[in-house]
Amino acid sequence: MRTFNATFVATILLSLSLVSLSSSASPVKYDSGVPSDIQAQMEADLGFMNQIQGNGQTNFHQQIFGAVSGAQYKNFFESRIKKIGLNDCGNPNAVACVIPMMGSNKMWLTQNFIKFSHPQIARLMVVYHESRHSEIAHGNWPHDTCPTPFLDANGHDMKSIWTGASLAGEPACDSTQLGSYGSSTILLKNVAMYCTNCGDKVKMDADLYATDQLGRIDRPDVKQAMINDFHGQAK
Amino acid sequence: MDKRSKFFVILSGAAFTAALLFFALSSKKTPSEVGIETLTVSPEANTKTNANPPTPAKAPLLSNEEQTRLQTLDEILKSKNDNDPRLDQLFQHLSTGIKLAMEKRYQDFAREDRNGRGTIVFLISREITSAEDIQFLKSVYEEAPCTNMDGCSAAPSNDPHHSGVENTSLNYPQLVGLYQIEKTIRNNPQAFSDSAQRAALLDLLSKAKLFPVQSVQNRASTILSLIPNP
Ligand SMILES: [Zn+2]
Repeated sequence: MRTFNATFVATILLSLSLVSLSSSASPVKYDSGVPSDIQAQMEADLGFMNQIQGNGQTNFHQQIFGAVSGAQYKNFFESRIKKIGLNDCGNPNAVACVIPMMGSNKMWLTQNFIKFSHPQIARLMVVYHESRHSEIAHGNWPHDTCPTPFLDANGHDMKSIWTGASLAGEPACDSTQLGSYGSSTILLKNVAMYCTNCGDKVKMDADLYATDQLGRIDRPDVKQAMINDFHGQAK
Repeated sequence: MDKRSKFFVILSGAAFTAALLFFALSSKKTPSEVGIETLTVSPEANTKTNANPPTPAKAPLLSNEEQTRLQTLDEILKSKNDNDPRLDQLFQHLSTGIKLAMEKRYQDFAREDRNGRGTIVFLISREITSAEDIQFLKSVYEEAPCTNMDGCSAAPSNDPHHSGVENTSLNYPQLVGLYQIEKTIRNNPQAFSDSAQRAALLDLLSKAKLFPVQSVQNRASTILSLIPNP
């Protein structure tokens, strides 16, 4: 009887949580062709972002997103992305993209969104990067052409991937902290520093991926301003 | 049927399915009834390459509670919820036995399971307490680098747009280990001051510096610069 009662209560709780889940699901509309497991992963990832709580933020974060807060991140995403479809994004390893000529407020996810074993923060970094590309008022925040040569802090050629071609001359940089690389770097650095309900792994991941992405800022003064911002010295 | 009725029909269906699922799960064997050997399959391990064939490592003797924790780790990884609070609640102050079992898990995971493997490295490198821990971490830098998320031995992709994210994920286990070591040293400069541990750490870092990926080499160099000469 005790087991039955516990099971009964758990079932009721599960049902109630389903009700709350359905009412808190994002208002983004999925195309019918988006597989349910991809939709579920996207909803789970956005659900994580939407419940973030923070105890501070940097000035650049305040300018772009507001406070470190799930409500702000939810508003940022949902005011930019209204629909989600399935696409290969023109690259066999892509995870997500925005294709302005196919609708600026639409994000496309690929099968890799659930197939590849990226940490959750990595998927979200791409999602927020792409949502920045939806802003028509800013020309979709086009990327800057990386300079030639394009070297890292140790004087090594910045490469597309460790075995790959040089990034020099590729449209894969930002000259402002407000672009897609810059804003997603600021987002993740702030999650790493100020999220109060993120676990150690999430904070580590946010820092790791943000540190890498900072390398795509090709103007030394802008990069330095971002570093100062992260250290509370932004002007 | 109007929209409101449809909603309640869907909701009732979902609740009924959830109830069935719950009853099915609750009728499963308890963790203590499940042998450790049954818990070694990663969510993605069946379809991908495993460059490190399972070693005939002897399965460590674990308490029922530790076996349950390992099962929980599998559940967390399968859920892809990296913010599951149990990662911090259940996986600190780990015994040697559970660390060895987790290292075996690492070997059993497909190489392409970068987040799964990296999570194991994270949990062990977060609290390095023995030479065995350092030995395991060193082996991570002796692996062949993963070249493509779709297959660790496949030709690399070449799209510069999100290649930074991809590059970090490809080398995630290696970067995580160094991240935690650096964090430990920055928080406690006296960590690894024991001469044997220091020597083992320097050996690990020398391997990391030889790992053929610039971002891993750079992190290893940074850590080496933090370690004072004896
Ligand atoms: Zn972009």
